[in-house]
Amino acid sequence: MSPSTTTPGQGPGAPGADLASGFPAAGSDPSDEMSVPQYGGMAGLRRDWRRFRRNKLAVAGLAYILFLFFIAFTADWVAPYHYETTNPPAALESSSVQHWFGTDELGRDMLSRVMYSARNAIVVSFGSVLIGLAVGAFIGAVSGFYGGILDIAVMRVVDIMFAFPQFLLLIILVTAMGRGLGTMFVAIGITSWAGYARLVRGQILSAKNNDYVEAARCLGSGNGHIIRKYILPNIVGPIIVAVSFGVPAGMLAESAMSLIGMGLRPPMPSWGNLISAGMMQMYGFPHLVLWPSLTFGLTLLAFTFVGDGLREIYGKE
Amino acid sequence: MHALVFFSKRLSAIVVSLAAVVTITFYLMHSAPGNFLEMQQVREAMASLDSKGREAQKQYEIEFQKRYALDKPIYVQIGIYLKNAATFKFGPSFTNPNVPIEALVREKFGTTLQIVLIGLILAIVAGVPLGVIAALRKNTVWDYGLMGFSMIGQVIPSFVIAVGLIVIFSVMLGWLPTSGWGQCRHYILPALAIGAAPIATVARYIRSSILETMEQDYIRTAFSKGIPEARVILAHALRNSLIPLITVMGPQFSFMLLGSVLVEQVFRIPGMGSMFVSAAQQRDYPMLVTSTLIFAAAIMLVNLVVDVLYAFLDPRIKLE
Amino acid sequence: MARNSDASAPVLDVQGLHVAFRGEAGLLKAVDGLDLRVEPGEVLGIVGESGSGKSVSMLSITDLIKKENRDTSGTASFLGRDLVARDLLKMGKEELGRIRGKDIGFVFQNPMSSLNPTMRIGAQIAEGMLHHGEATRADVKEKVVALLDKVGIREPEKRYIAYPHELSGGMRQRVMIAMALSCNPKLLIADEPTTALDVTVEKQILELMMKMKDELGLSIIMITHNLPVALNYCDGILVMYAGKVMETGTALDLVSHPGHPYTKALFSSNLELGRRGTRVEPIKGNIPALTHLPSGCRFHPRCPMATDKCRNEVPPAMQSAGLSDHLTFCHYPL
Repeated sequence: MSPSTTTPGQGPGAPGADLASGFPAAGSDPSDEMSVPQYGGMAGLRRDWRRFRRNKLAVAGLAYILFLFFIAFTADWVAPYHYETTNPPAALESSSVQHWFGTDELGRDMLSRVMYSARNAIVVSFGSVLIGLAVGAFIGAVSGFYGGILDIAVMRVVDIMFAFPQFLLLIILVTAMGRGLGTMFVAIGITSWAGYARLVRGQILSAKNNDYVEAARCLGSGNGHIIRKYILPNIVGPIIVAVSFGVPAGMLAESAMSLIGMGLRPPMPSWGNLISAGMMQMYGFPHLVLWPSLTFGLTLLAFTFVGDGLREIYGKE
Repeated sequence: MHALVFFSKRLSAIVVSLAAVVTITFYLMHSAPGNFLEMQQVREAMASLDSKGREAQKQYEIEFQKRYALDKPIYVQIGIYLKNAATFKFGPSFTNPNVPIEALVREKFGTTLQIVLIGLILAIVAGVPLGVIAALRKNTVWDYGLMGFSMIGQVIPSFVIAVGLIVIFSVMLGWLPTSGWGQCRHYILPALAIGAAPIATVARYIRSSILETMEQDYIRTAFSKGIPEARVILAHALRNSLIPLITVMGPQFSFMLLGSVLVEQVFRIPGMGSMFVSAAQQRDYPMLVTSTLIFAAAIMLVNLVVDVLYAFLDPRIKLE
Repeated sequence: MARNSDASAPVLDVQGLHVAFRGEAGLLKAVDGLDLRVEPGEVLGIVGESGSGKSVSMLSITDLIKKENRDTSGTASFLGRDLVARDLLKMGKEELGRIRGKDIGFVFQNPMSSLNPTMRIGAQIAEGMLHHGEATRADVKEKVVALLDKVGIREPEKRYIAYPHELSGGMRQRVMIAMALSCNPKLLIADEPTTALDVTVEKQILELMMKMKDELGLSIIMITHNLPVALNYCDGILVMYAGKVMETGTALDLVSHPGHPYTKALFSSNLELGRRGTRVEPIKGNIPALTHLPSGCRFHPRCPMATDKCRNEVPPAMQSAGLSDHLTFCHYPL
């Protein structure tokens, strides 16, 4: 594959684009001499899916996550009760036909509260990943692309972010910003941007040093073109993998914060505050901690399986 | 000489990072809504002060501001703090004005460190043999069972494991207390909860490392000398897996130290983690900044120690 | 188990050795019916391309190659220091452990990766000696230092506490030799001992091995793909191709009149052996996959003289030039 023979408009995707990301450069000419065949977007996705499917644990994890999503977003309809609906006469019941997961000390239905917890966990984790990724990718991209003093300064800041124990920073941020759902995902996003920045910057640097990119630049390609054709295709895979591990990390952070009473404000339910509330009544009513712990644990396992499955396809982070 | 340069370079990097951590914490705290005094006022207001009392309160506030240098600009406050911190003097906290923070830290950090160290020891004395067993019984029920368990141990967060342990050993079996501190039996569950993930990580690491090492040429050489398999595994394969294990232990230490914040909450242990959380809740800034500093410093120093130890134990690694 | 005090009894007598690996791609026949004899004091060269089964055969009889999925059959009668011939293939782990390192020493190809990088040189040599009772804790250092000196390592006291990465490739191979000879073995199996070394060092190492052979009365099996090395240093040579022996005879016979087209092809494809004015001819084609071996003579797809007979019938041993110890496995020996 000699770069000089390809015109910039139809050059091959960055090397390994089809292996690494599944999102090869759009419009790449199939007649190009390629050692590895390039696929279109849909075909690439379908091929990735076939590889993903072979990992049974990952598929099971994905099924569980999809189920959890369905429950979480239709909770207003499928949950048997609202999470705030109290029913003191039926307080602290264990599992029954009316209350599969039992009820808490105010007679609230635990199943419903666990379902709404899932929704809150999903909102917080995806929100935080979105913020962290947007901030991190932007900073990393600018830093990597322009280099120089800017890059050095940015990397210093990233280093400091890494030096700051993440969970402590999160607690301090929440202290500074006040508790709440919004604070939760902004704060988690802020504590996680540095990782994405480092990832994106690394990918951009390796693409910048690539022969194809140099050749394309020599042939007069603009920055926008280079980003679209060479950098984006390479970066999507690692980002997918990073996100698949970032989401459960966000859920964990939210639950941990709620556990120590710095996360979501009750009565808004979270796996974390359900567990900490349940611990008060653990001796008589272990079901109060059992169900949220179990759901939370399973969710984290499911995300890990999916993340491992994705990592097999898209290579190391 | 090289080692000395390396050491001073790393130490100065740590000092700079710690100063940055302190500065960030100071600014964040400065921008936080509500402060210690306001929160105290609410409490005082409940006691409905008369005018004389209000005057005294005002006087108290001014003295308070002066005492903690809160009347000065924030960068001066940071400067004063850093200067004192260099000599390990942090002054009194808001909530406990009669005791210097360093005295509190010494006590609380000792408590936390005890749990973390027990967890660390557990990780090695349990994780290494489990990993060796899994490697020796590769692709058998033993292997799959152990690795399945360690997968769960790695993924489930320590506070959930803590709750599970309490349900099983305290609630159902009634063997161990759910909370409290001071006696031997109080250590067992917290150390297990905090050590679960490191045990799992070490076991998985040792397993894959031994299997990888057994493929090496020098293992064949060892066998060619006629020495028995057990000795080949222990003296050659395991030995070479143990050296890089040190680099695995560094992150595990940080993990456990930060995990202690949650596990101490679950077990109500009066350690650094509990102190940090209550400092945040009560807006006790001197205490919060100092706890953050101590946590960060401990993590960075351990990482430095890990690097030095690794270079010391592996003859091929040179400090750079 | 016959007591064999006959001085001319072979040190190693391998008969009908078959080694196969059960793999996902099917049965991989690495060695298919190997016979060889090593006489006391003899240097036997096993020559072949990679994948010919030369290393696998020797590592299989000493059980130094992956056990899972391996089928080994045949006999490998070894005459130990007690002068009792025993079948290596019938030995249990422990019994074989008493032979390996003590009666049979090994030198492997890559001296960097074959030495434990985190263990001092001295400890690595001492390990086998202590295990086999060749030395005690008290005198092991002295013996190892003497051994290092003997294999030509300067400042042996200093090297005793060195790590492998502090030594050059040639020095490391000397250490390997010292290790192999530390218990005064009867047989040294050298698996491509100089392949990873510079040509100048190669000669030194080979000379050292020959010197040690004379001093200790060793037999050596030298596995190599380097034909000139085998011709220069070996008494007998065994040419292997795709798991089967093609030709066996003395080095002299093989040079003067090679019987097998493959041996001949090896000669003419070799740059060093080619005489001025003769063309260097690479052997056409590739060695066959061991899972899909050709019928008849293994070499027929690449043989310029192949006939239908070669394609269908496995060639028997043919005597070349009337010599009983020069055998060629070819229907049409040259």
